[in-house]
Amino acid sequence: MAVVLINAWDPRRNNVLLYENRYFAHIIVRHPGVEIEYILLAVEAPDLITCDVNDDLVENYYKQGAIWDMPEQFLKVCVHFDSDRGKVITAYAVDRPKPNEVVVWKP
Amino acid sequence: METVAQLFGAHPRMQVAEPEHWPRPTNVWANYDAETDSMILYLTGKPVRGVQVYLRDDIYAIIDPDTYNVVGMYVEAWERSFVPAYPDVQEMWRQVKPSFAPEIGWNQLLRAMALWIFLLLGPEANNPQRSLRPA
Repeated sequence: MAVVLINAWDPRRNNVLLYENRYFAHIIVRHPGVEIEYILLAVEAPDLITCDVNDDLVENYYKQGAIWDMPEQFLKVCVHFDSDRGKVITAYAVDRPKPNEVVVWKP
Repeated sequence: METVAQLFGAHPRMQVAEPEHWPRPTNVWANYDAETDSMILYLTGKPVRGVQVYLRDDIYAIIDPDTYNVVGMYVEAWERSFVPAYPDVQEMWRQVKPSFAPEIGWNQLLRAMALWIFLLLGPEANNPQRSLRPA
């Protein structure tokens, strides 16, 4: 049975999950320094949620300062929604949200 | 609909400096992930902490947050957009992709292809009009 590391609700009350396998086999391997608590913070209290330009089922959560030693940078968390639940598929630090994405939520 | 560019502007917020050292083939670490359709490569022997700085057309330079040197490259929509834009990459990818197990995401051929793409295109010269063929 898949182990869930994060079972959180975003500001729109959408449920978002992070699975152990995805985190340890993909996210932390490709993007060292992206801790589980940073991802949780970006999902629960994002600065911005956008629609991905390449996949209509993916939304991107951005949180500036989520990575404690990179306060100026944003954490981008990509969440795939194929039902009423979303699952985190990747997460990494960016200098800014991707310019051509459309905003779907902001505070 | 409001775009991110309207909120944050369209230009990078970080400077991008050349790699600290000339890329060495033995130091290339590359990985393709089918779920996100993304290719990532590091020039540092293994993945390191970095900031993805968006350049254009789903291509990012990965920057050391302390030195601003390029440490890698990240491409989204790899099969959807990047590969079809470059006929030579398309030909190479057709041969490389079946050669590695999806759950592993890399082999020596992928590593060689990643280095080749980085050296020819570089993090700043991502012009799809630029030919990957010899002049």
